[in-house]
Amino acid sequence: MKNTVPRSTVKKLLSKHKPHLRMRANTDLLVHLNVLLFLHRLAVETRTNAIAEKSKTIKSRHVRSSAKIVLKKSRG
Amino acid sequence: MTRPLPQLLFFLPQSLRRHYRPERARRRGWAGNSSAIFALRRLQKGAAMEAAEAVGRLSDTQRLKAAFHYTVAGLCEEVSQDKEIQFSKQTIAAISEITFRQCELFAKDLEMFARHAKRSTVNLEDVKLLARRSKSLLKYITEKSEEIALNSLEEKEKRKKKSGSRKGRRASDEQEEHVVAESDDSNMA
Repeated sequence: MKNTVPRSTVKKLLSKHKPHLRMRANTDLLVHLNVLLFLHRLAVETRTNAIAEKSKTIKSRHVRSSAKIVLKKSRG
Repeated sequence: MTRPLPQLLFFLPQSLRRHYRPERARRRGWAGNSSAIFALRRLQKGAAMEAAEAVGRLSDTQRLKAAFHYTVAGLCEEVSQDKEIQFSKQTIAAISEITFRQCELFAKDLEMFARHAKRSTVNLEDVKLLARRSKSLLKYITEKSEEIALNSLEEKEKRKKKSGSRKGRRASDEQEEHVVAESDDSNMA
């Protein structure tokens, strides 16, 4: 994984969702950190799902079922 | 006349029955009918003292937990009558424990929300913010808060009218009667 943060992309995405919301400096970095943590949680959950089903590869249905749970848990 | 006490024991609560020992009663001469009553009184006094001591020994959290348990049991009773399902005692205890711990989380969250808004008092808005995660709950709480706001507004208006009526007595009495009649109509509708 490369170590650069796609700052303009994060800003663009946020401004697309909430056009009138203004961000202070360096808030996008914290948003990016949140995204990384979310991905980590999703990966862990998906892997436990796959192991529970005794499959050696992660399949789309594992991701779907775990995404439901992780998205619910990471609501603000 | 040999054993009058065991019959009397049926009137005693379960917690007091264990205090009664027939051998000891006979030895102390409590076996007669009149002395049986004295014995019961003695037992009750002792039990009451014990209970008072036990309550005194309980800490605040334990009392709070007991209150939670009582309320939860009442609510469960309602649900069981409504759905015709019975709750086991363990279930009720588990629900009350969950409620207790959830309240700790709620309190912390509410404090943080109020502090975030640079307030030291928790507001209705904070409570709404607490319930934002589930849509149905948010809707319900918003409706309730609107109801509360309306009620408080009405009460304020009533107070204003009452304070106004004290200044001019007779005319305002008629006005008040009108107000009462109107409010009755609204209640009926």
